[in-house]
Amino acid sequence: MTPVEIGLYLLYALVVALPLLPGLLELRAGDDDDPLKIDASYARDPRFLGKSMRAKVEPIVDATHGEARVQFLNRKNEFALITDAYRSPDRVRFDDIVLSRGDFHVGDRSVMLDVYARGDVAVGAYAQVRTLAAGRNARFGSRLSVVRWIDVEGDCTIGDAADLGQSVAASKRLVIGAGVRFSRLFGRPISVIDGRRAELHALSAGPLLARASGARRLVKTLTLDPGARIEDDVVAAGDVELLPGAVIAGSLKAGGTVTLRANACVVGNIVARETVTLEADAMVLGHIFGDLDVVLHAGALVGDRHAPKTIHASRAVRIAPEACIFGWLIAERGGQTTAKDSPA
Amino acid sequence: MVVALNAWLTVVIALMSIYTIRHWVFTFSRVYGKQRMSFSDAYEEHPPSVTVLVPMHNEEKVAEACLDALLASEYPKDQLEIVAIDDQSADATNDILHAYIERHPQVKILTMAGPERGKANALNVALESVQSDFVLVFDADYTPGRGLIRTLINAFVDPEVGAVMGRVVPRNTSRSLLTRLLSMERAGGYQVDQQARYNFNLLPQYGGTVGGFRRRMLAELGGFDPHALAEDTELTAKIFQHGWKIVYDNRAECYEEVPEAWESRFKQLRRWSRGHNRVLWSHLFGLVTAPVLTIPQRIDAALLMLCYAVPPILLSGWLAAIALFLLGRLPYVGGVTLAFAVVLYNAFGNFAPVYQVATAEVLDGSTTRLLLLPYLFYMFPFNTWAITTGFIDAVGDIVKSRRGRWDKTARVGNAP
Amino acid sequence: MPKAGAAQAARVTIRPHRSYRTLRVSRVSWLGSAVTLPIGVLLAYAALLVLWPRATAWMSALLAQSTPITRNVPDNFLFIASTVPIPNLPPLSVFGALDVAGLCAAAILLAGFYAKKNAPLPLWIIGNLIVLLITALWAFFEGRAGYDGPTYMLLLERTSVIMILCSPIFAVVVAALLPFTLLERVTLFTLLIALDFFMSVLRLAVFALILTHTGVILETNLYLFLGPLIDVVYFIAVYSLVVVSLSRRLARTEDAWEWL
Repeated sequence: MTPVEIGLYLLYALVVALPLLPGLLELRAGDDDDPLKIDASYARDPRFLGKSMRAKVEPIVDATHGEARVQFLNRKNEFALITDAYRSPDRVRFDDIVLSRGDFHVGDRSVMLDVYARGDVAVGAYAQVRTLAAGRNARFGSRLSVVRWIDVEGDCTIGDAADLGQSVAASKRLVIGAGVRFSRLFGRPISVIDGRRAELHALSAGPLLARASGARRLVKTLTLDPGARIEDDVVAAGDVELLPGAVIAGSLKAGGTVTLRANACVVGNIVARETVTLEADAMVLGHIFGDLDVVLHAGALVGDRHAPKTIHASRAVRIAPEACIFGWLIAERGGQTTAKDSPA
Repeated sequence: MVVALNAWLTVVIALMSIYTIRHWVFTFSRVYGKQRMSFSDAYEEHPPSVTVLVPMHNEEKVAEACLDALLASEYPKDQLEIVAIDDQSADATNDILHAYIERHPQVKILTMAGPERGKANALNVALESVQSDFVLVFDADYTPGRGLIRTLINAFVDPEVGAVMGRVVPRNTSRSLLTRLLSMERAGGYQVDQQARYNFNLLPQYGGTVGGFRRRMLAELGGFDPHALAEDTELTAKIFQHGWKIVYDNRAECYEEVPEAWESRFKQLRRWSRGHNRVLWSHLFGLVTAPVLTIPQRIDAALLMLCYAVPPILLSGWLAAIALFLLGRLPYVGGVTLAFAVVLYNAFGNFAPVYQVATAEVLDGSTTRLLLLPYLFYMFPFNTWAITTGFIDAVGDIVKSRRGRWDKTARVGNAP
Repeated sequence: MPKAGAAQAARVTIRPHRSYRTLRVSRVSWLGSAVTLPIGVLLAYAALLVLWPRATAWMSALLAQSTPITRNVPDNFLFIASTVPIPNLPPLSVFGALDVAGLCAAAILLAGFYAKKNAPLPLWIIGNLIVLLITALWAFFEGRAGYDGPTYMLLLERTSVIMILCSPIFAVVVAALLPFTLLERVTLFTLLIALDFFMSVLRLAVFALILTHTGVILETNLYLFLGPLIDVVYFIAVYSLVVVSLSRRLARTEDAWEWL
């Protein structure tokens, strides 16, 4: 063999091996060979944000006495003002995070960063808040703007025309006004302006609440006559309509839309590939998962006082005044409460 | 002769192209499309009763870690039953389990006496005494997180859902080239393939672990075939034929241990292929003619069922190419397209082509491990041969009406 | 309503879980991707038109000067001219083929014994030995196998040309799955075509040399296992490099994560 021939063989061997070289280096270095990190402690919790903030903030508050100003966690350029209680007039603008051992009251048109208060919170109209966690009850005026989230360990009331950011959660009652935009809400219950009508209606519907045996009924489409009752789970390929007073004692799956006319009821869950509509005083005691929109009219009720549930809309949620939801409401593309005098 | 060989080669290349396009569409959907969410968000303070079955055969290295993880679950204790099934272990598994229940009486043991052995049979026997509405199954090398049981059970919010499947994540990735490649294959198979099939309302697969089913549904379907080597695929086929659905929950992640030795992986792949191809034989016709399935679902069913028959078909395509070459009649373009078809196929260890694996790793936030992608090519003859031998086993089983033997995947037990 | 301060206006930086992650791609990027296909193919074709004749002629001249290969033939495929080196194939010995078949059989048995672990490398070797065995047996029974020297080399050369022309198509199709930047796309194309080009010319020379020594018996292995197939490993390797770049970039850009 000539030197050129040997050179060509060697060069070819090198060129053939070349694509494997970067991988070989990575294999030896092991720069990216850890398993994917799974958080073993993860458990779904609608109030995760608030709880995790409290866990971080409480030690800071406990470690100080009186009024103090400290660097907030490891955030650059952010300081926390720690105080026993905070009360301010209108139009105050905060450059610091506020951690209050007591109440926190600010007037109209205030602009806040993160706020944590162990006591009650009261915020005036036209206010803006980045993050807020309250240890007791909270009340917000109209036109509130939330950049991130609010979590309240008690009752929470929010005025009309608010923009609720990513999430608002209350461990007890969450009352929101008309024209409010939201993404995720949690409350026991969430009611729009006044949910007593729906709650009272639910109390009178006791006999409906017996769950079905769990048998499955397959149908193409379904229109359930007024006052009729199905004891099984229903799986429909198309649309489902429950006429006034009709009841499905099991769960309902529909390949199309689901419409519950006045006073109709589904005791189990509703899963629909299209829009779910609950007309006046209709009731769903289980979860609602809609691949499109979910629409709740006046007096509609979802969930149960003792068993909160979820409404999950892959698109939007529209809720009319006097509707009431026990549990978690998720609108992937945003939700809105309607005006007092207009239907959902 | 030449015409027949060319025709067969064309068929093989066409089949490869169909799979390639299918996986491209899947990947596209996963990256840019609207992701169909499972029911993870269902808030439930009173979840239903659930029984977790953990079949074990020679699991002394991993049994305790799995049970510890299950006991740490946040699922209400009064609604949770954990049953460890000792399926005639020859090692210390039984002793370990008995010592374990001394400390943790809430765990139950079911000891299988024989003579039958295998996961499907063990599950059938265990199910006879289960009272819960829902049953979850974990292999013994799995370590579920605190919230995983609830996440999986949430899928049954939908009354049409008969089974649920979570995502499998290898924990021993750093051990060898094999474990790293398997980790990449798993990513492609779950993060992209399963999620895309769920997005398109096709046939996500129940994988036999990190998943579960309705007890009532399984009873309706007659339980597991006790001799099945791929009881998960068999259940998948039966579920869809009977109008039930399977939910894939990409958020329900769980660590597993992948084989660290080539020999062990070869046996595993061979067993999967053998079991899967037997299901192909018994359920393909039923699936593609099932009136409850849509046309896209039937096509997906056919492609899913055929996936373990593809390597032997591909091998036959290679033989046709060799014959044409020796005859001096290999078409110019034939050689090129065959090469591309084969290589695009080559990463099909877990039925995920290279671009699907790469996309899954990007979604997972991986970086330099992607440099190992060319090594998937290295796996090509290995996977092809392992699956082909399993295919031959299955053909033998069908012809001779014999039962398959369950080859146990060896455990290493190196939890992180 | 008061104006939002800088802190309030800051984007929400909560990272959703990877399970929900999707990627965004701009219309400009899509347009770029669509435009890249014809441009890529045209560039590859232009490179072949201009460089392929010179590179193959240079390589053939080098072989003629310094190796046993002294013959070459001109070719014109898809208007791309080339000079293809032709191996001086030793005549096929029927009994020599039988010897090769025997040696292969013995080697397969031996490799089979040591390859009990069923690992990929032994399987690669065994796979090649089986093809060699089939070729040898074919040669023994038929008296011929595969192609004569010029036809084989033309087959190899034309396959290489098609591979280089096909590369941009596959690159575009695969690159469409991820939001690559223009620079990453250009890197993918350039590296892919350059390496493929270089590899193809080198392969023509090396295969001609190997066949000069071994005869037709190795033709099948070289073409079907060690030939254009290797180009696809190149493709994957180059692709993996740009994907790493993309993944690192996305890791720095939290906007890539969508909050549900």
